[in-house]
Amino acid sequence: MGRDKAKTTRKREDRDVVLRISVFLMLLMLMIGGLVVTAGMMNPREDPTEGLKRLKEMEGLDVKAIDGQIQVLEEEERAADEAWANRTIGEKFANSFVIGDSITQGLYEHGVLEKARVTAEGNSGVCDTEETRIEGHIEKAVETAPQVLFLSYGINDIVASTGHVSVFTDAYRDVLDRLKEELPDTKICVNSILPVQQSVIDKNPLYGNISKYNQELEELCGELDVLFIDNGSLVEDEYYTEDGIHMGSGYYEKWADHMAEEAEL
Amino acid sequence: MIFDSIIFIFAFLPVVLIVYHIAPDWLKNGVLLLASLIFYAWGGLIYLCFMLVSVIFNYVCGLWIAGKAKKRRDVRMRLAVCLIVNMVMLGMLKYGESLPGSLYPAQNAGETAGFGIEWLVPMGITFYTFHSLSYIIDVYRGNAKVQKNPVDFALYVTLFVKLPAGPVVRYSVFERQLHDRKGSWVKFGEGAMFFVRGLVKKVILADNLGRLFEELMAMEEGQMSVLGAWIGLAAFAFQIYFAFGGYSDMAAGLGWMFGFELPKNFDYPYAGGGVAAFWRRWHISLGAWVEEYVYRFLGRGSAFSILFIWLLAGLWHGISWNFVIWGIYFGILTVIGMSMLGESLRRIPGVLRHIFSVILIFAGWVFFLCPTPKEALEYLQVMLGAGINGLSDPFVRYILITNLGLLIAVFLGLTPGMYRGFEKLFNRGGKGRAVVNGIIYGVLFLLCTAYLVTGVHYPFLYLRF
Amino acid sequence: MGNRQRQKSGKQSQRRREDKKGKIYRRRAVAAVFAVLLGTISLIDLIPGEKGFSHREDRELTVKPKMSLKGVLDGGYMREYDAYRTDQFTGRSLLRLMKTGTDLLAGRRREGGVYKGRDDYLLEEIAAPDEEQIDKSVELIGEFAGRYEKVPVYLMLVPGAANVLDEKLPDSAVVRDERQSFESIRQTLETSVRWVDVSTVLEKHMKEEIYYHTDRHWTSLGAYYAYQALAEVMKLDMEKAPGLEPYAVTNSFNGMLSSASGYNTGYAEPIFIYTPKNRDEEISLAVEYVEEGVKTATLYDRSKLIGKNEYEVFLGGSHGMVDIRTTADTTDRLLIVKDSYANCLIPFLTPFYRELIVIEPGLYEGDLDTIMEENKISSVLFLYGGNTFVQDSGISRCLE
Repeated sequence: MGRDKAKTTRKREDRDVVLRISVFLMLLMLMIGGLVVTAGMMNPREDPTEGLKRLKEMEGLDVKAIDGQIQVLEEEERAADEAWANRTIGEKFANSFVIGDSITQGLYEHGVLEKARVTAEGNSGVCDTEETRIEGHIEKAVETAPQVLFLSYGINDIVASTGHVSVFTDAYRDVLDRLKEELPDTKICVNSILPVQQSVIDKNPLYGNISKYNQELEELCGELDVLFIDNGSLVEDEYYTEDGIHMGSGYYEKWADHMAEEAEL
Repeated sequence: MIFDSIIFIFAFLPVVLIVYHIAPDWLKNGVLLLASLIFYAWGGLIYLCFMLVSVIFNYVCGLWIAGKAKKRRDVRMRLAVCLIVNMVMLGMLKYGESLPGSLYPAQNAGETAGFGIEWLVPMGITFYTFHSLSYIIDVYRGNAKVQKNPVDFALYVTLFVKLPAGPVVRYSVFERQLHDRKGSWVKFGEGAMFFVRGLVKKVILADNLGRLFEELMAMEEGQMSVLGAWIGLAAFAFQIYFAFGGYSDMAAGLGWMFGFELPKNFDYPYAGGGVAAFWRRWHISLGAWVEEYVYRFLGRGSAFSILFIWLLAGLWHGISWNFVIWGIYFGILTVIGMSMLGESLRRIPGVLRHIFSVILIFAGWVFFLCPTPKEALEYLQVMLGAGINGLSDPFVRYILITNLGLLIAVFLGLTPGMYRGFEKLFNRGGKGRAVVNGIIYGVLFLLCTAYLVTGVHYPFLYLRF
Repeated sequence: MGNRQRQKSGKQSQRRREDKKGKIYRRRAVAAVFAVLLGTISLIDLIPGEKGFSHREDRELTVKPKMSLKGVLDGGYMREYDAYRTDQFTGRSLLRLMKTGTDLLAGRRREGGVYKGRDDYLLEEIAAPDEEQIDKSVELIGEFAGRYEKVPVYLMLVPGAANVLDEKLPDSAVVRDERQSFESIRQTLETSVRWVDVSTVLEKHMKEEIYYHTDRHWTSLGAYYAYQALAEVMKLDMEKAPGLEPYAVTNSFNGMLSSASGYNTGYAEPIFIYTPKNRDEEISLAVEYVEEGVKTATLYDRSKLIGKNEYEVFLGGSHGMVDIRTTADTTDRLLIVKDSYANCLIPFLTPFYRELIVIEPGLYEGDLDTIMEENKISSVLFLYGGNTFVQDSGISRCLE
């Protein structure tokens, strides 16, 4: 009986020891785990002293002085803007060129633009056949290579195309295609055909097609991605000269302004 | 008040324990009664009023039934009146808000019942009503003496330890403990262990299962796979089990702390046996109460009474077709179990039978999970593989992997094996092991506190029954 | 009974006695431990001291509720009191640490919408896109760009760390891929808005520290790479940009993701600013916080380095409108509509613009058209973090 008791006691002691060791190991692992976790969280730190110094310096800057500086710059900018807004027509058209017909000649005849900026001849139009004056204009335009090119034709084409609007638009198309090819970086703008007085239409009914021609011309410009400038609204009765077609001086300044505005010169 | 709250554990409990133990013996029951009333009033004074009405009424009933009567028939009538009034009170307070044309405006509409009060079903109303009914019937049957001391009677009905979720203790059993109980440090320790175990089950297992369930449902919206449906259902079912079981453990623990020896309420229902065995081990005291007071009354052994009781059980959860189906489903299963078919089914070897019965039980829980029968059927379809989303999906895998620890703990807690091994290990050996045991429980208690303070809290489903 | 049997039964009864003693010891030990713990914690919790705002958790804590008859009758007051005691529990931070630690041990890797990833990275969940809101914002941006044809409009959406650093996500984590929504937004606005793709360049540098470990924002390095991509798309004249050096301004930043989730609360990381080594090359600034009426000469707010959210050192956090004027040699003006992601990228843009008007739609009361009309804006940049953009309603408000 005693030996059994001794055996059970030893067994119990063994189990006690096992238990104690396992508990101890568990606690040890927990502690190590805890240390590892906290150590892992301590990543190498950056040194913020230099950065903080910079921030302090930036704070110390005198904002009023800087504001003053900026205001000066803003003033300059405003002045430049005003100057820009108050440019003369001549300045606006400094990098532009205009080609056209007899009506267009009025631009330099009435002193709105310099002659160097304009090449225009009477009786010219896109439908030139024998007298290819427009050829000369196109060459001059290519030679000048302006940033913006304005065309103003049509009044002579009304007669030359004998009422067939497609003749007009096909010819204009050719001209535009050519200009676009030869002057790829130039902005091309097409002016509408100016209306004429009723008396003229009475004499020659062909002039009644002007609005139709303008419509087709506008569509053509839309198709070719060219700016169409409609000047019809600028025309007043008092501007007309005796022939009922050409314009007097009052018109040209308005026209130049309108072109500058539409083409954003 | 609820057991798993900071207020209860760290404000209410210490004070009550201290006052109780300083108080002289004749005052102890009064102390507990006062504590129980405060405990209950914490849920809202208006509910306390209803409960007091019930207590006073049943106290008077007891005196009335035990009092002198000319004929036996009169006594039976008195019993009937008492029973009916109790049931009506229970019915009104429990279902009042969901019946059409009811006195109580619908809680869902956000309206309030007069004075702008938010209305909820009073906590534990079924449990305290059942306690009172047990008293009345026991007095009627002569199984117990009428309780003339109002404090003692009130304490029987309202003792905070068993009020929220049971166990339901029959009056004849409890009577002795009203006066004949002793406390001791050993009993207090036993109570502490039960309480901590219950807390762990509720706060660490059940609440986290609830979180798992919510996350899974959120991720899977509209695209549940078979595995997802099963895991979701399992999480839902085990959440209920651990919450209910946890509360019962806490109740038992608290009882021990004050010298009461409350009966065991859950006996590892998921650990084996068939469907009938499951329900026998689930909320044992409630089952016993129903058997003693309802089943016997209706007539033992008849299929009708079984089905009827199960139907009532379903409706007890709420007036909805889902619960009706749930009740009838288990009713039918129980009846089958008692028949010849059941005999032959029991011959299936243990493990298979176990799995089969768990599947059957899970199927029942689907009707708890989904609010309408249509959705429940859809869910079952997905579970059986008839859904369109395949066997498993990345969300489920993610949920499984990131909840691995929890799932392991849950499975260990479902069977008695682990706990019994633990008990065996620590019951041997002397003070050393006892200290380790103490430390383990202490750490668990702190952990529960951590989860209580900072975790997501899922109110226990059965509190408002 | 034979001798053997007597021995056996003797042993059995002895064992039972031992068990009984063992049981008693156990219970006494637990009783002691429990009583002590319960007592001490309850006493400690009685210590007065109420906290209003928790920096650790970045939220308001419940304070003592007011008693009312209704509250006492229906239990509402008691419920609030419960929440109050729970929130103000002494030792809450320590307990939170315990819980987070246990959760991590059990395998959990997500809390509060934040994934705990490898290499101590915390990655924010990618938010579910609010399709309606996105469509509305995108439509309004398109219309806005259409109204001002001459002004180029750029859109930069920054992907979240969870998408770019996806190899840092915990195993099997499933995260939304917002690059699909980015692609569809880009396509919708293809004709009117210029899309700036930063996802590619960030992915290229994903092995570097381009996102903070504990915050949802990108680091200044990440912003630097994005700025390079932006400069290319905007065709900025890099001659104007001085050579920049990074300087750490703090090494103890612990960001918002840490507070939200409880992970990595001890992690400290640096915040860098980029500025020319040679101080003469710095552009002078006049910065005005318009709604507060404060003027300063720097984009950085040193006072924020002491608080909890040190990321606010950039532009002092969120303001409805900030007007930055510079001495840069240009008349270009930039309008930036942004969320907090842009704050650390703006310093890179100052040499290229005379004025930068910075709007945060969530806080700005006015509308963008007024700004466009009143100022000579030459470019517009919309800069948002993906997560904010897919749920933001501020843009719609400003553009309507």
